[in-house]
Amino acid sequence: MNNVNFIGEWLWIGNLGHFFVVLMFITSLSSTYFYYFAEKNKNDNYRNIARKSIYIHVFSVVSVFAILFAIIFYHRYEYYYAWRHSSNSLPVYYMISCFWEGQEGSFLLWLFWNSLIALVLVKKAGKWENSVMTIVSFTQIALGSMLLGLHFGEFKIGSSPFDLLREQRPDFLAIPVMESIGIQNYLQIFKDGNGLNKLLQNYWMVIHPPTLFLGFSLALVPFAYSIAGIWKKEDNSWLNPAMIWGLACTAILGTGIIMGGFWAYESLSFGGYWAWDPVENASLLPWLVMISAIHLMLISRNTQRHFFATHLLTQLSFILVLYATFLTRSGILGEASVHSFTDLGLSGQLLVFLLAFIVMISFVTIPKVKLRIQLSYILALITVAVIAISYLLTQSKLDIFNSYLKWGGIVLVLSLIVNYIYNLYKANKSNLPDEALNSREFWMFLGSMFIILSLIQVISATSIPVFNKLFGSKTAVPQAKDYNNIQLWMALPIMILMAVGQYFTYRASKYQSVLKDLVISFILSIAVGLLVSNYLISDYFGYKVFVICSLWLVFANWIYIIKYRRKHFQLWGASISHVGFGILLLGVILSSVNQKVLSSTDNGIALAPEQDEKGNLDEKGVKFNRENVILYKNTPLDLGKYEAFYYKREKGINYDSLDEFFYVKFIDKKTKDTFILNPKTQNNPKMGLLAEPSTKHYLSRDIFTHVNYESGLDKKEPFSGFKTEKVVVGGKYTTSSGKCEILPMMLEKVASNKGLALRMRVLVKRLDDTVTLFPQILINESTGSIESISASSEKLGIFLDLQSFNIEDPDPAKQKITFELQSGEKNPVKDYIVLKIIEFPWINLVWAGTIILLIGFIIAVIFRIKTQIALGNN
Amino acid sequence: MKPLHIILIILSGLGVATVVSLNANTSEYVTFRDADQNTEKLYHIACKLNKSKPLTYQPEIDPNKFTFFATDSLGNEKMVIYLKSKPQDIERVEKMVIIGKSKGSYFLAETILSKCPSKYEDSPAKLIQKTN
Repeated sequence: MNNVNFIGEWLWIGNLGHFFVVLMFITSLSSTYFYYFAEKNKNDNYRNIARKSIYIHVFSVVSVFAILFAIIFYHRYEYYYAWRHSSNSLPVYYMISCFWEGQEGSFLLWLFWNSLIALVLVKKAGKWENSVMTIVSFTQIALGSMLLGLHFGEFKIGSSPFDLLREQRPDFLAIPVMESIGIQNYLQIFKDGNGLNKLLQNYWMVIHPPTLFLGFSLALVPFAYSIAGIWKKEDNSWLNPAMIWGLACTAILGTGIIMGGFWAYESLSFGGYWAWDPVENASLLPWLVMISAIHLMLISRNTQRHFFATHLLTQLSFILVLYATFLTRSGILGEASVHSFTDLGLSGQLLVFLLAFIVMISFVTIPKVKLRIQLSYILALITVAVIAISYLLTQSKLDIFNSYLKWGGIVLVLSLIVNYIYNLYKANKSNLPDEALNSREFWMFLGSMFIILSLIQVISATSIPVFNKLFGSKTAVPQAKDYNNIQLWMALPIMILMAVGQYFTYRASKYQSVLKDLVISFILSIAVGLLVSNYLISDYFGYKVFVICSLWLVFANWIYIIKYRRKHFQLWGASISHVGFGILLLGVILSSVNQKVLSSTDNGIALAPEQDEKGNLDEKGVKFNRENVILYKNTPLDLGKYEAFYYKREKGINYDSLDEFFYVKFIDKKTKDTFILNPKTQNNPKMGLLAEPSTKHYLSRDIFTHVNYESGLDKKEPFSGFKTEKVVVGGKYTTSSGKCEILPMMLEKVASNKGLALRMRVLVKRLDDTVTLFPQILINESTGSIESISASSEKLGIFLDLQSFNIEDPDPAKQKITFELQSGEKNPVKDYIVLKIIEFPWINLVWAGTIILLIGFIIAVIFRIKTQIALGNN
Repeated sequence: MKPLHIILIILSGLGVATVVSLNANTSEYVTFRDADQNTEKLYHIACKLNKSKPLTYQPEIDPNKFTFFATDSLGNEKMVIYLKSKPQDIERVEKMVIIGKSKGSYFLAETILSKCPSKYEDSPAKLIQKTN
C-alpha cells in the first residue's frame, strides 16, 4: 500500500500544516526557556530572543488555524478532520464551528486566544513580562503538544488535525467499491464529508465555544501573575494587573457559560437553560473560583491580608480550567453526560497535562532551591523507574503493577498538593492582628468562602465518575434536582453577604451606620419579597427566603449606588454586578418554580394496568402528569389558558431540506390574542429525530413549544385489499371495502420521450375528505412494454395503479378507452404532532440579570485599567 | 480562637457534610433484581435496549407512553415504561441508564440517559449505500 500513488490529494497543504505545528511547538519551548533565564539572570538579550520566539509562535498558531480552515473550506476530504467534521453543503459561517466539534480544533482555538493574550502581555506587562510569559509559554508547550500527533507504537503524543483520512481509517480503503475503481482513486468515493453535528449548526454555537475558550485563556493570566508574584517574592504588585485580567476572565467566561445556556434553551429539547450536566459544571467551576479569587485580591490589596488564600484560589481557578478540560476531553464522563465528545485516546496525556501544572505550582512554592532540585531528582527517578518497569513486565503482571501505580500515583499527587498548600501557607503567613468583625474584609472573605462551599458541592458531585474510575465504585451521577436542593441553601448566605458587604468599610466601620443603611433595603425586600412569593406556585419555605434574599441583594446594592456612589460612575462596577446577579437569581427561581407545563393535566391520569409477558395484570397502575399533547391537523385543542391549533406543515428548502416546519397557532382565550409558533423537526439520517423548539417571548413570560413526535415518523402501513377492475373516465367505483369512492375525471397526455404516456386524473373521496391522484401509464416505443406509475395518498389511505388499457372504439374523438385499474386501501394516516408546551415566567430576568452583571464587570475592568495607567504614569 | 477561625472550621464542617450527604443521597447503579426489593425507592439501572423486542409508542392512543424491553448487567430482562414521548434516537442507543422505580412486572422510568456509540459518524457500510 505504501507504493500506491493516490490521485487528487493535496499533500502539500497538510505538510505545511505539520510544519507550522512543529514550529509552534519548538518556539513555545524556546520562549519558555529564554523567558525563564531572562527572569532568573535578569538578562535582556535572553528576553529579546524569547520575544522573537513568541512572535514566530503566534505566527505559527495563526498559520495552523488558517491552514485547517482552508482544508475545510476547500473540502479536502483526504484530511480526516475535514471529512469527519464538515461536508460540501455546510455554509461558510458554520465551517468555523467545525473547529470546536473536534478536539484538535478546540485546542487550536485555545492556543490562538493564548497567543493573542501573549502579544498583549509582551507589550503591556512591563517588569512582569519575563516571569508571566514563562508561565504562558509553558502552557503553550502543554497545549501545543496536544496537536503534535507523534506516534511511538501504541503510545501517542497529541493528535494532529492534518492526519490523512486513509491513515486514520484504513478500513475505508478496504470497502468493496475500491476494487473496481482502484484504491489510488479513493477520493472519488469521498467526495463529501461526514458533516457537522446538526445541533452545532446554530448561530449561538458559532460564538459560544470561542467565548468560553477566551474565558479559559484569560484565567491563565491571573494564575501566571500569582506564580510570578511568588517567584519574584513580591508581595502585592502582581495584584493590580492580575485583578484586571481576572475581572475580564469572569466577564467573558460568564458570558460564555450563559450563552451555552441560551443556546440550550433556544435550540435543545430539554426545556431549560441549565441542567447541571457535568460539562456545564466543568465550565462553572473555574468561574466560581475566579469570582472568589477577585474578592480576595481586593482584600489582599487593600488590607495586606489573606495572601495565602488569594494565591491559592487564583491558582486553583486555572487548575480547575485544566481539570475541566480533563473531564470533558478524556471521555471519563462517559454516560454521565449527554454531551458527546470524541475521545482521541489522549486521556493519559491530558492527565499528564493536569499533573504537570500541579507539579509546577508545588515546585514554585518550595522555598529552598536545594529542596526543589532534590524533589525534581526524585520525581525524575520515579518516572524513569515506572517507564522501565512497564516495558519489562508481561501483560498479566502489568495489570497488577498498574493497580499499585494507581495508588502510588494518588498518594504522590496528594502529598504534592499537601506540600504545596503547606508551603504556600507558610510563605504567606501574616503577623497582622486579626481583622475586626466590623470590617469589610471580614464579610467579603466570608462571602468568598461560601462561594467555595458551593463549589465543593458542585465539584464533588461532578467528579463522581472520576471517583468511580479511581476506586472502582458504582455511584450514580446526581440529577439536577439533587444539585438544586443543595445549591438553593448555598446561595442564601452568599446573597446576604453580597447585600451587606459593601456597607462596611475596610478595617473598621460603625455598626450603627451599617444597620441604619441596611434597614430600608431590608424592609423593602421583605415587603416586595412577600408579595412576590405569593405569586409563587409552591409554598416551600426555602423559595420564599430565596426570593427575599435575592431582592435584598438587588435593593441593597442599588441603594448603595444612590447613597454613596451617585457621582462616581467609574466605581459602580461592583454594585452593578451584584444587582445583576440578584436579578439573575430572582429570574432563576421564578422561571423554574413557576414553570408550567401547559400541555399537561394538573391532577394526572391513571395509567392503565399493564400486562406483563405472561399475561398477568399489574393492578397497581400509577398516576402521572402528562407532558405532551397530541395535536391533529386542523383540530383545535383546549389547553386551559390557550387554545392550540395546528394548521400547516412545510418542508425546508435547500440546506434545510430535511427540516419540517410546523405551524401552530395559539389563541389566548381571555384576551383573544393570537400568536404563531414554528417548532421544527429534522429526521436526521445520522442522529434520528432532531427537534428545534420555538418560543414566543413576552416581557414577563415565554411560551416554549417543542415537537417530540410527528405523524411522518410513523411506520408506513402497507396497502391491502387490492382489487382490479375495468374503469372508464366518468365512471364511479369503490375500493374493495367500499370506504373510498374512486372517480376517474379525465385523461391527460404527458410529455415523454420514451413513448405514449397518459395520466388519469382521479378524484378520491373518503367521508368528507377528497384528494386528486394521477396514476400514469406509459407505452415504451422501443420495447413495446407497458410501464405504470402508481399514485397514492397516505391521508386517505388509497393506492391506485393503471395496469393496462384497451381501446374499445378506435375513434379518438369518443375516447372510449377502458383501463384496468388496481386499487388498494388502508387506514387513513392522520397528520398530527406530539407537542410539549412550557410556560417560563420571568425568564427574561435571567438574561437581563446576566447583561447587567456583565455591564458591571466591564465598568470595573475599565476603571482598573484606567487606574493602572494612572499608576504607571506616576 | 479568632472568630474567623471558628467560622472557617464551621464552613469546613459544612463542606464535609455536603460531600457526605451527597454520598448518602446518590444511589448506585443496580440491577432490576435489586430494584424489585424496594418499589418505593428511585434506582439507577445501567442496561441495554433489547432491540429484538418491540419498542411501542402509539401517540394516537397515548402520546405519553413509551414501552420497551431492557436487559441489565446480569442479563435479566424487564419491560420498561416511560411516561413521556419516545426519546429522540432510542433506536440507535446501545447502552443507557434508566432512573426510576420498579413496579413489579415492569420498571417505571422517570429519566432515560442514553448514549450512542458513534453518534455522528457513518459506518463504511452506509458509505457504500450513499455512493451507489
